[in-house]
Amino acid sequence: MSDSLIPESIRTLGRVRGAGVVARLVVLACPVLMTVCTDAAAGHTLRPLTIAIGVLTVVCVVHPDSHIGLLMVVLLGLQWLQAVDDPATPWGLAAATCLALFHTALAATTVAPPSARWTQAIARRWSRRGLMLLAPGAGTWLMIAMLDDRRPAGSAELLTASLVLIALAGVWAGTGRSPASRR
Amino acid sequence: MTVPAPTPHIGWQPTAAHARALVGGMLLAVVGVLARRPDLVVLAAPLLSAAVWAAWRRPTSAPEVRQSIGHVVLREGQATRWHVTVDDREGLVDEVALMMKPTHWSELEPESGEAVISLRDDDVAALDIGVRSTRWGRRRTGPALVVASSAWAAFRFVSRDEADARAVITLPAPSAFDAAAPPVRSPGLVGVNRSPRQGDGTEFAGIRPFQPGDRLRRIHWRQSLRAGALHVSASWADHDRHVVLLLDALDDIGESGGVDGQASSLDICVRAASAIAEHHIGAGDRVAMVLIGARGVQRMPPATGRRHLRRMLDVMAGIEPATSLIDDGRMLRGLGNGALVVMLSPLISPFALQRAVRIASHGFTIVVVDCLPEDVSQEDPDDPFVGLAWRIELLHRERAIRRVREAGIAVVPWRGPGSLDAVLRDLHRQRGVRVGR
Repeated sequence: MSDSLIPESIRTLGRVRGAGVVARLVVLACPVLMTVCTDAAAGHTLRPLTIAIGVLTVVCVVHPDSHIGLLMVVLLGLQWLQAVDDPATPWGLAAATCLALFHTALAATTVAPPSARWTQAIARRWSRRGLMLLAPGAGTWLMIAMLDDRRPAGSAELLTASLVLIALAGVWAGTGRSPASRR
Repeated sequence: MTVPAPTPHIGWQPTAAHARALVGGMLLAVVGVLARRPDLVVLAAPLLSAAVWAAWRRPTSAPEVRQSIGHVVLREGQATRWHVTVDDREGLVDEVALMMKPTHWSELEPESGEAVISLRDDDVAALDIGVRSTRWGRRRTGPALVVASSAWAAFRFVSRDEADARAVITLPAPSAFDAAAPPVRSPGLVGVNRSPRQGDGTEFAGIRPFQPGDRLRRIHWRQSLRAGALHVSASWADHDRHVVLLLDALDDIGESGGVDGQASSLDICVRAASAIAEHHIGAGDRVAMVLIGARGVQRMPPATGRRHLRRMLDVMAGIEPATSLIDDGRMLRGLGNGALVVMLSPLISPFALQRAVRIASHGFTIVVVDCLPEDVSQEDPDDPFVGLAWRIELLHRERAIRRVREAGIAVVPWRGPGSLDAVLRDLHRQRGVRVGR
């Protein structure tokens, strides 16, 4: 990022109106809330990561269409991994909600130019999407909460199958084609 | 939205949002599996869901983007619409955003030139941006940058084809102008204006005794019977009026604020010339134009009619002030006896006044319209001599104008309607005396 870009970015931010402001406020609030969730679940947070998250949140608001958002997801996940010990804590659901809303709001800010007026249909669609994205997190958390007492034994085959499945899903989602069809 | 670089025809490209959902979600899921931390899978689930959803709804074919403009010829202050239509055959495009940069003499509506619609939910397939031209001239407008987004803003299609740009001609807005003064008398006997002489015309002048040579159809029988001698109906002869507009675009003094702001000298020149041309062509007169500007000396032969007016306005729209003197100094061609030459100039360059004197010395009627804005001043806070030099220049100008007036050439400032009335009335009287002799 060159110095000459900074004033232009700030100027661009000043032109944001209406629903764009709301989306950026959500982007600003979600990482903060997720840090609060981490603190509530673990009783502490990692100070260097918290500071980095705070700074990068502001950068995300200024440059929503950049890979800073990905870095934020990684840092938020790392903080959760390091600080929280209880995998079935209900705060996990709240953290997943914050992460889902963060991603939705950040994606929504990139579909319209800063000072363009969002139509009601666009605002409704993205609100609906944000709410729909809460369901997978809630479902996964519910499943984990139910399985938490059983403590199943580890399985190397299951682990390998899970990783292969995730890799295949990743290839498909990234390219829109299965590895077989690419050949 | 960050404005992507104009790279047309590259198809749909994944965005940072898709990378975030996919890479972020997978990273959290893999670490969760390897570290036996199912809570990380809870965090990953929404992101992976968004990534899978976006991949499933990924468009494969490029939408057809068409850009057009409502009108390519405008008057100053008039507005038109820039249309963008997007034809999405797959139905997988969610939002379409448009970004258009305002050019120097145009205003956009919305002011930012940015708009967005939901292609499927807003029941419209077109985006409109209002474009208002604020100054005469030829300018390139567009193209707009059109960005289509798929579900979850995961894939983006950018369209910006330079071939979609349009050349918009903004014709000068005519200043309010009307001349109530009678036309300058010319010796011709055809045309639409009443000649000061009696002759074979259509307008009734009076009844007079018959003279050899009078046509029989002009005999006024009632008066002839009453008087006992033949009398005829006399009429005024018709004559043509020939106006030559001489535009001096050697200088553009003052800063133009467009149609809504202050006018530069060239603005006043062009708008006044446009107003005078419209007035005379509307009255059926023949109007010619000579233009001294950046492209040398451009000449338009005398003609009449709306089409000729449009051609003249087109030429005026293309005027650029010259950076150096490009005057061939030749006498105006096609000047008929009795033509009225109207010179429009800020009278800063001495060549304009020299040319006026030369035209007058050939016996033509010339009126010089002073187009220098009233409130123009040249000041530089860092250099006090700029203001001083400008005042000296104005003194030189005053002296030159005084000399030209002493040579019998009328110099009038442009004041809109009736600007030329007093001087045209004087010229009418002078020519009348000359004809009477």
